[in-house]
Amino acid sequence: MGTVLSETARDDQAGLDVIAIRLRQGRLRAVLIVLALLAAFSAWALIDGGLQLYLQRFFDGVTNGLLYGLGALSLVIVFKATGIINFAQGPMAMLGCYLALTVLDLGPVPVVAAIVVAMVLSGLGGAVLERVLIRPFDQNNHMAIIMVTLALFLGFNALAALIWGFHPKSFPSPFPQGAADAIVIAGARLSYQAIGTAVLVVATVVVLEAVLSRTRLGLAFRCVASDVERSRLLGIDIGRTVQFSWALAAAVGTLGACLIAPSTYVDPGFMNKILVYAFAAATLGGLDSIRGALVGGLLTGLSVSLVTGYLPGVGSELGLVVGFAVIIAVLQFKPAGLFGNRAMERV
Amino acid sequence: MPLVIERGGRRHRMLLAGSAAAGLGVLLGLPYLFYSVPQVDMLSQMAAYAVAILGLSILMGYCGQISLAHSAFVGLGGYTTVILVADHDWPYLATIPVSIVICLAVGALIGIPALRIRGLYLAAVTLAVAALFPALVIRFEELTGGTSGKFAREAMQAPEWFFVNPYTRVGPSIVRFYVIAAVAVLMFLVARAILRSRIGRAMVALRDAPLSAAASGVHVARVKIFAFAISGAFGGVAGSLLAIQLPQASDTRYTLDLSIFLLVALVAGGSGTMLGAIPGAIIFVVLRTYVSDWASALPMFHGGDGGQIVGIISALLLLAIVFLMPTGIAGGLTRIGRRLVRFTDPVPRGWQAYRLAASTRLTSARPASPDPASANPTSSPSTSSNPASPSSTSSSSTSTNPTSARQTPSAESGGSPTASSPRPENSGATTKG
Amino acid sequence: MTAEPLLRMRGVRAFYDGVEALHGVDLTVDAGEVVVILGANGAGKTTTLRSICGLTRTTGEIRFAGQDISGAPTSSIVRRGVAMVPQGRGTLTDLSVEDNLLAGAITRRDKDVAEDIATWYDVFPRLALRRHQSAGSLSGGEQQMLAVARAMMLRPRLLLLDEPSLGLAPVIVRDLFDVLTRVNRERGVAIVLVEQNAALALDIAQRGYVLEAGTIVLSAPADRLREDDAVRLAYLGY
Repeated sequence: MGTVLSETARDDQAGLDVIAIRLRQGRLRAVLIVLALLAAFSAWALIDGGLQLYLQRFFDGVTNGLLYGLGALSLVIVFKATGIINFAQGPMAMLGCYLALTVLDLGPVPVVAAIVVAMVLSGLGGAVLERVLIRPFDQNNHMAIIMVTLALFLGFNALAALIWGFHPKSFPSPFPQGAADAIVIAGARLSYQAIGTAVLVVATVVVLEAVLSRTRLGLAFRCVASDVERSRLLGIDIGRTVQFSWALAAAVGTLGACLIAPSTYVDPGFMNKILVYAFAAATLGGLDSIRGALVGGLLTGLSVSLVTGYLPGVGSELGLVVGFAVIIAVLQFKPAGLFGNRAMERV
Repeated sequence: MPLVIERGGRRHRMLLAGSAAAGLGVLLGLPYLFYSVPQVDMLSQMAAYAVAILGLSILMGYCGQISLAHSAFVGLGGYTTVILVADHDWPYLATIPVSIVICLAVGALIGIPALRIRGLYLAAVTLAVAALFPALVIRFEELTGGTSGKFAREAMQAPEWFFVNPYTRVGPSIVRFYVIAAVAVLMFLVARAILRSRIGRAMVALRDAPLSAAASGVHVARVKIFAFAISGAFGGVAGSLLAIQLPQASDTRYTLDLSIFLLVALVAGGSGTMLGAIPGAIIFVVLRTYVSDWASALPMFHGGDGGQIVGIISALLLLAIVFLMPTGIAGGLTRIGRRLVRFTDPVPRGWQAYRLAASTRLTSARPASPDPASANPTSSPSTSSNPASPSSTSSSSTSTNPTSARQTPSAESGGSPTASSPRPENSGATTKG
Repeated sequence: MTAEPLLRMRGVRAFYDGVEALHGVDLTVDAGEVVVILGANGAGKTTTLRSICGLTRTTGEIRFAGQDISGAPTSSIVRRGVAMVPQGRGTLTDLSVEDNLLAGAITRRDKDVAEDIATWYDVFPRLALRRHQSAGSLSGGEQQMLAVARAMMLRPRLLLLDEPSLGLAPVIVRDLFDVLTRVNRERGVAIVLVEQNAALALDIAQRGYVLEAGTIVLSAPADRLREDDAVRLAYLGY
């Protein structure tokens, strides 16, 4: 028994996974192209403006980029599990940030505790949201689900403005924020906050990947992300798994908002622009890739920072244009993104 | 007891003419019903937004492409008109064709990424466009007036000979309303023409079954780009009309929120229908003016920004519609309408030419010698089966007995298949052994 | 059989979007039996399997292991011990071979999962060789092996297979059916096999049903079916 199987097993040990190898090669090539473009631009920038300016832009770009990556992560988590893009992600994260602020107002609470509480609460909120507003719809009814997320976009923005008004508030940082709290490299300033944020973001991604690859819930998530109906046949409770993904995405989103908040003012609209960058990052990295979100974020942040910093005609408002250009370029050349597997079908 | 009306028939034409006349009468009379400046201005806004929503309906409802970029087109039209009037002294109406051209071009441009992406992805890209527009407005301050906005000194005036008295307080508003309504009616007629044309049907095919459409020769790229361009043009016209009503343009007027509100209005009114744009526009304007004022006045919100409450209400409205009434108001009305009136298609002339089986009898109706007849059980049924026969109806006109004329082809084509089932008309001779 | 059958379907009608695909199907499977369902394309064989798993809207009675499962959600049915290998393998192509096997056991709470995986690697050495490769990069035969192993990881009482031989080389099919026979004899797993390759299926089955346009037209022991003229003509080709 098993004669055919065990015989031929010896034959192709060498040429095992041709497809996988080719895939990796293609991916590597794409990443190298992007890096080459950035390197070329950087070289020009260095010659043009000197090291200090470049390094500053580089640091800013990387820091922002990691935060875009965190936003992208939320989008990717929901997309992997459900195949939809949650347009309300920005406002949800913004509400989470306001939640943290409310907790801080309640008393002398350390910032970290407030953030953690906000994350837990938004996770619960995300779970409730999925159960009440998303699950009733057939997963393939994209139109309806888009409408729901758009309604939430509108509603949450309005709710925040109603409750907290438009006065910009400041958000304390869990990291030391003084003027001296930075390392200076060749004249460019890399604040402790930036370093701390970067470490936190990378840690989040690492933890997330570990959860996904080692836990039962993570396995269920990956199964659902691969194929919903086949996962059903495994006995996986699809509803609960999707709910978990929404909760996770909400918590990650809140974390991202709280990390962005210290460097900008908090007002009901502050996450909306970030959504565009986060979407660019997710597109670049691949909407169904966790790692891609991070890399996409980095590359997007760098691109935005470098282009707005060096090209004369492009002011800082046009950072959005750069983000948009990234989206279009990716869709034109590599629709599935750098690390993604699922390209949007074209007809 | 639904009334049955045949399309293209006399009753149908009378119905259409009657509704057109009624509609015209309503339009002419409305401003005199609501005889005050703010209310007539609201009517103008409704007409203008109806055009915008109609454009969105063409793109989303009929062609099935998701777009959140509509606010950018409305903005393009608005700024075009205001800039041309304020800076270059153009007459208002003349700016509309310019808006159309610009929006057609930009719409086509946006259609290009749409060729490669669908659904949510497309929605997200168009969302980026809508978010981009205010940023671009701010960037090109010299042209657009940036955050302070752009104004024209004087809103549109009517010529002296116009039948409305421009010297009353309400007069100018009424004039503007008529102009806007006239353009809106024109746009509705254009939409109707487009949707009935080949490209209109191609759009619907694209929405319902894109692969089949492509396989049937629908030029997908052209249709998609066309849909985006046309929808953009409608948005641009709406923007110009809004500028005619109130010649003000600013970056806060054409934001992503506007796109979402328009979407809410579209869904509420009923996407995928033309007339749904009208209740949609009414809801839109009512929400943003009346409800906003009402909300601000509520003691519980102590003068808080009414706009936010409108936002919440709109969000709830959208949710309610998606859950409870996905076809919108127009959908609901259509269902009621179907109980009252039913349209049927007339039997096409000359249908006999397309029947499968011949209508002439073969040589004999009587069963001949058993063998040849039993060898061909399939050919005889089509001749002897129906005494109420084809040859007599072939010369009759098509409109007399639609139902009985229809039955004969099916009975005949039902006659040809499996020889195993007994054919009652052919009595004994041709049953197989 | 005096005991209640493991699976009993009575008067089951199945619907797709309002279209009735099964018109009152009666079917039983006893514990440890191999039952085959034969039929032409479109007869409703896949629908029958899907109905058992709760993937299709049905009316009528479906009982498994003495309990009514009609209308129960798929995850609950699977947890009771029904594993299905759908048409087209049903492997999760983005996951590795090992992850697929782990996924098969995802509802299990016991500690023998690793041991089971090792057992199945013994049965299918090629899978062991490719254990960290993505399932999507496996050949058709390998994917089918993985699908069967994955389904067995559930330690089911009832195994449903939808056209397992489709697209596979005959020699691999033969080995696959050997494994199925072993599974049935050594582990007492009941099998419902939907197959177009009727000859092979009838060889390993005890009983069979013939489905035509949504109704069972014939129900008989396997050797009777093999001799039946109509079945031979229609499905065995001679």
